Amino acid sequence: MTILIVDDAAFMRMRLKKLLTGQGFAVEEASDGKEAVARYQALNPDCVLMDITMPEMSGIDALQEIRRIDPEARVIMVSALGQQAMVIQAIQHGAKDFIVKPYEPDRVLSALTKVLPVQKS
Amino acid sequence: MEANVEQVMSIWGKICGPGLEEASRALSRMTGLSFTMEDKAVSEVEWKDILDKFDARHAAELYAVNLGATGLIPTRIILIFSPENSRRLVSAMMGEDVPLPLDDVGLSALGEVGNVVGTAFLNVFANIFGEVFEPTVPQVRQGQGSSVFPVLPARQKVLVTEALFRVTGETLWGEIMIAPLTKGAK
Repeated sequence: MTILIVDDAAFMRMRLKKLLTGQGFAVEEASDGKEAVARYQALNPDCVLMDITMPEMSGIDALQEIRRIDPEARVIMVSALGQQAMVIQAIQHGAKDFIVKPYEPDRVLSALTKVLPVQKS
Repeated sequence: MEANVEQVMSIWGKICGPGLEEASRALSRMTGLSFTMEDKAVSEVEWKDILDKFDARHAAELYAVNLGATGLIPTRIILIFSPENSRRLVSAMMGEDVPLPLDDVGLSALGEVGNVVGTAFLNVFANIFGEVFEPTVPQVRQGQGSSVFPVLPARQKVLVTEALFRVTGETLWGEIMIAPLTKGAK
């Protein structure tokens, strides 16, 4: 399964990539909302981990654009503490779950388990 | 709740300890490392004195993380590290020795420290005032002396905390500056 990581912070992308590739996921990256929309259209990933606060296009705007392109898109928002209002907005726009930064690896994996379809063996 | 800059400064001064404790927990969660931070000295100074102090250090090379906060009173939060302390901090976070100057990933790691510390302080502050504060995207600057700082009014009051960071066998110093902006400042 392919996960698209969207975060303007290279360090955060590196951490998530390390965690997810270690769990057998294929990982693609984008560093802002605009790039995320383009990468989503090109790659059709199974899930998107989307930071909220980014320059260029915010995570909320990118979520709306991705959901417009693909109403079934699975997007998990990554927020900082204190961004409750934006998390609610994201859920209203179709985000499937949210993770609060700084997060523990288990929280990321449990959100993905909840959102991703169960693979049949 | 109404508040003026003097009240805000007074409260910031009192929450340095709890703010750093919350930041330590958050950084530990984020990195899986054992982070602790302590405030060793807290002082209130004017911005012009900070500029003088840093420029008097023979314009030493510095790394600065700048972020803002919106809310009750707009605030600038600035973290300052020497290059060597930045390198040691980022190396600990990345689990490998990184060289100087820091590359994009290293600068981003330092930015995340600023983000976590700033957000932790804002959360403690928000709990007191019952109001949500939102941090802005951190900007990391590298340069000499005061060139890494934002432009603030000379008479702007700033709370300076000398903080001791301990992480996986490394002990290093940083300075955290908090400036609740007076009217007209950006």
